[in-house]
Amino acid sequence: MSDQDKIIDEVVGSEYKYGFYTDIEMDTAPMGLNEDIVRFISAKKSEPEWMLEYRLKAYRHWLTLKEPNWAHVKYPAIDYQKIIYYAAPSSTPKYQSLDEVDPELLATFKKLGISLEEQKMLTGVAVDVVMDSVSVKTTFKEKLSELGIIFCAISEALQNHPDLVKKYLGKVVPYTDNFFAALNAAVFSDGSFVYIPKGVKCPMELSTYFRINAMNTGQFERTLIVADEGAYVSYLEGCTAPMRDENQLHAAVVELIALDHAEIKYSTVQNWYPGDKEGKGGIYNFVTKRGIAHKGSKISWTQVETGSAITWKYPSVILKGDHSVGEFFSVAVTSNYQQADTGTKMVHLGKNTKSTIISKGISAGKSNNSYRGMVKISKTAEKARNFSQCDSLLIGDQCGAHTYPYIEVNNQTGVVEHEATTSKIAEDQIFYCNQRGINNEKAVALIVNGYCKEVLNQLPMEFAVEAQKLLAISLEGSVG
Amino acid sequence: MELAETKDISTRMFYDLYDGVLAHADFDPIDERIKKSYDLIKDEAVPSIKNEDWKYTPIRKYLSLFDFQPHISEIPTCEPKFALENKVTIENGHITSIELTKDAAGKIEILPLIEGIGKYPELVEKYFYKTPLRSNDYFVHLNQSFCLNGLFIYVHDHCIINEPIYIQQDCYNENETFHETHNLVLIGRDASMHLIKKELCTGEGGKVFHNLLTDAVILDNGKFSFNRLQNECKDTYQITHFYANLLPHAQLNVNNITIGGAFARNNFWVELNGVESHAKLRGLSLLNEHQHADNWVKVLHNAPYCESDQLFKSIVDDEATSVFSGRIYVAKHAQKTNAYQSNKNIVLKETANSYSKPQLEIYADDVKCSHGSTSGQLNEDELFYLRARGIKEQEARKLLLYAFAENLVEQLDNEHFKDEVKALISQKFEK
Repeated sequence: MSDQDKIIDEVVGSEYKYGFYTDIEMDTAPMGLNEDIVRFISAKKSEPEWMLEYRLKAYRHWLTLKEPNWAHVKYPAIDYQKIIYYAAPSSTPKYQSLDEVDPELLATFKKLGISLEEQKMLTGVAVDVVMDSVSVKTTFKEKLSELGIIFCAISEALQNHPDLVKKYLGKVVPYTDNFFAALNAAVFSDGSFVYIPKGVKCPMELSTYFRINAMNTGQFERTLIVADEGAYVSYLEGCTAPMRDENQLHAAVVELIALDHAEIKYSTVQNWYPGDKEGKGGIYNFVTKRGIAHKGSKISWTQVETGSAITWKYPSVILKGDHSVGEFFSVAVTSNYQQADTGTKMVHLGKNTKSTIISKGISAGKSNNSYRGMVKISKTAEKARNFSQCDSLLIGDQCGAHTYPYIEVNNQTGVVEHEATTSKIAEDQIFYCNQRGINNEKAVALIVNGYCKEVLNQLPMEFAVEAQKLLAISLEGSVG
Repeated sequence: MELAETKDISTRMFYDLYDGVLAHADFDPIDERIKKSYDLIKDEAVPSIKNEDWKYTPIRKYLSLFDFQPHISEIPTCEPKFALENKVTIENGHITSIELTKDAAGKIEILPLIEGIGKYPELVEKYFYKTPLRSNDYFVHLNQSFCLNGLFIYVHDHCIINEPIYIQQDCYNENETFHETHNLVLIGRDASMHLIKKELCTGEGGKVFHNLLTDAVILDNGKFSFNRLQNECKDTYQITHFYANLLPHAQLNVNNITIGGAFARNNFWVELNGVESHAKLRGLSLLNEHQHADNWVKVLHNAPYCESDQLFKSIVDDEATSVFSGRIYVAKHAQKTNAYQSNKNIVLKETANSYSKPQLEIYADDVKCSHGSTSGQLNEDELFYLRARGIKEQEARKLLLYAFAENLVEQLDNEHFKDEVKALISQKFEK
C-alpha cells in the first residue's frame, strides 16, 4: 500500500468523534404527520391563531407537492409518516440560571466544546441553544436588549413580538417555494429569531448550536433574521449530531432580510453524523436558505459542510435593491458514502448589483460532491456583475466531483464570469513538501488548508477554529 | 411561456405524417432497434420546458407553429457520378446528386442510406444504431423510428481524402414540411476525411422543420473533420444530432457555425471510447431578431489518456436567444483525462438572452478538467482604445465583434470555407 493509499484509507476510515447520545426525558408527538400533528405543535407552542392557519395552509400545500429528484443524490424513499415531528426536552419551563439546567445536558455541551459557562465568560458569544427543537437557554440577552436587539427562539418571538414575525415570516421563503420549505412551514418546532433595529451594529457574534438528539426525530428549524436599515449582524450556526443508525431528516428554512444599507453575515459549520463507513445511517439535510437584499445592503453566506449523509442546500440571495451585494463562500467535504449537492442562487434584480461565489469541494472515499448554482441577471439588473469560481479536489479514485452551473443573462450590461477546475492534489506539490521534510500526511493537510483558505478566511475567529477542527476530523489522517 | 395546448404535440402527430410506416431496412437487428425506439416514444409527448434538457428551449412552442403536410414515402434514387468536386446535394430532404472526383471514388463510398445498409450489413451491425440510443433523446428515437432517408459514408481503411466532401442542403418546398435524415459515417483505420456541410435556402418556400441525425464512428487512428454552416432563411427550424464514437487514437474536429435559421438545436454527443483519442468542438452562433440557437454538448471520456476541448461562442442581438449546455463526463477508469470547456457570450441588447450551463461530472481523480463561462457586453476599455484612435463608435463595435468571432473562424481548417464564413459574418454585422 503506497503512502497515499494509506492516507486515503485513514481519511475514509476515520470514525465520527462526536457520536454520543444524551439520555433526557422527551416530550414527543406521536409518529406521523396529519393536520392534528400540525395543531399539536402549534398548541404546544401556544401560538397565535394566524400562525396555526399559516401552518395548515402550508401543510395542505405540501400534500400537493412531489419530492424533488433533480439533485445528484440517491437515497431510499423517505416515509414521512414514520417521523416524529415534535420532541422537546421535558424540563420546561425555562431556567433562570445555568445551575437549573439538566446537568447531563450541560455535560453534552461540554463534550462538544461549547460549555455555556465557557461561552459566557470567555468568548463573549451569546448562545441560543437549541436542543431537539426547544430553546433551552439564551445568554447575554440583557446586553443585547439594551441595544434593542431581539435574539430569541422563534416561538418566544411569536409570543412577544408577533407583529414583527408576522411581517417577515415566509416573505423570503414562502411555503409554496418547494417541497421541504412547505414541510418546514407546517411543522417547524423552533429556531432563532433575530431583529437588529435601525442603525445598530450588533456588538457580538450571535450563535446557535443545533443538535438532533432523540431517536426518529426530524429537526425542523426555522430561522428568521431581520436587519433593519443600516444595521449589521454576524450570525453563526453550528451543528453536531450523535451517532445513530437510522436516517434522520432535517429540513430547515433560514430567511434573511437585509433592509436598506444593512449587512448580514451568516456562517455555518455543519458536522452532522455522515453515516458509517458502509454508508449506513447519517442525517439527510434538506435546507432552504435564502436572503433578500434591499438597497445598498449586503448578505454574505459562508458555509463549511463536512457532515450529513446527504446535503441538499443552496443558500441564495435575491439582490432586489440597487447596489446590493451577495456573497457565497463554501467548503464542502465528503468522504465515505456521503453525497452533497450544494451551491447557491444569485438573482440580480437591482441595478449595479454584485455577487461573488467561491465554492470549494473536496471528495474522498466513495462520495459524490456536486456544485449546483444559478446566476440570473434579469432585465432590470443594469450593470450587474457576478464572479463565480468552483473548484473541486478529488482524493482517491472512487469519488466523484461535479459542477452544474446555470447562467442566465437577460440584460446586455450584465457581466457574468464562471470558472471551475477539477483536479487531484498534484504530485509535485506533495514532492515539494516532502523535500522540505514534511511528511505526506502533513503535506496533504497543508495543501487542503491552503485550498480552502479563501473560504475559511471569511469565517469569524471563533468559528474558524471550529471549522478547522471539523475539516481535520472529516479528513482525519490527512489534515492536521 | 404560454403554449397553444390545443394542439396534440406528441408522437402521434409524426406517426400520422408517415402513415404509421416505421423505417424498415430489411435487416433484422436494425429493425429490432427501430421497434425499440418506437416503443419508447409511441405514447410520449414532445418534451416540454420542464424537461431539464429543454429548459431554455420551448420546443413544443416551435412545433405548434407548424401544420405539417404528409410525406411522400417514395425516395428518389441516385447514382454516384464523377465530377471535379466531391459534392452531395440534398434538396427538400432528398438526395438528388452524388458527385465524386476520380481520386476520391476508389477511397470513399457515398451511398443512399438503404443501399449502404444493404451493402455493408456487418459494418452497420457492428458500429451503428448504438451510440444515439444511449442518449435516450426523444428526437433521436423519433428519427430512428421513421427515417429511411440519408447518406451512408464509408472511408476505407488507410485512405486519405485530400479534397473536402461538400454536402449542400437546400430547401424550397411550398408546403410546411417535416424532414428527417439519418446519416451514417464510418472512417476506417488510418483514414481521414473533411466534410463541409452547408445548409441554405435558395428559394422561397413554406416553413420547414428538420430533425437530422449523423452517427459517426472513427476507427483506430482515423481522422474526421466536420465543418457545418447553418445559413438558412428565417423559415427553417431544426434539431440536429451529431453522434461520434472515437476508437483508439482517433481524432475528431467539429466546427459548427450558426448564422441563419429561425431555430436551431444542435446536440453533440461525443464518446471517447478508445485510448488517446482527441475531440475538438467549436461552435459560433451569430443571432439577431427572433433567432434561437441551442447548443447542447456532451463529451464522455470512457477511456484513459483522452483529450477534449470545447469552445462555444455566441453574439446575441435584438430578441434572440442563445443557449449553451455542455457537459463533460469522466468515467471512473478514464484517468489522465484532459478536458476543457469554454463558453463565451456577448449580449448586445436588453431584450436578448443568453443561457449557459457548463457542467462537469467527474468520477476519476487523476484528471485535468476545467470549464469557464462568460456572458457580458463589449469591453469598455477596448472600445475606448479604438475610439481614442479616431474610430467611430459604430465601427469600433463592429471591429470588436468581428474579432470575437474571427478568433474562432481562424481555426477552421479549410481556406475556402473560412473565407465564405468570414464574408457571411461581415454581412451579418452590416445589418
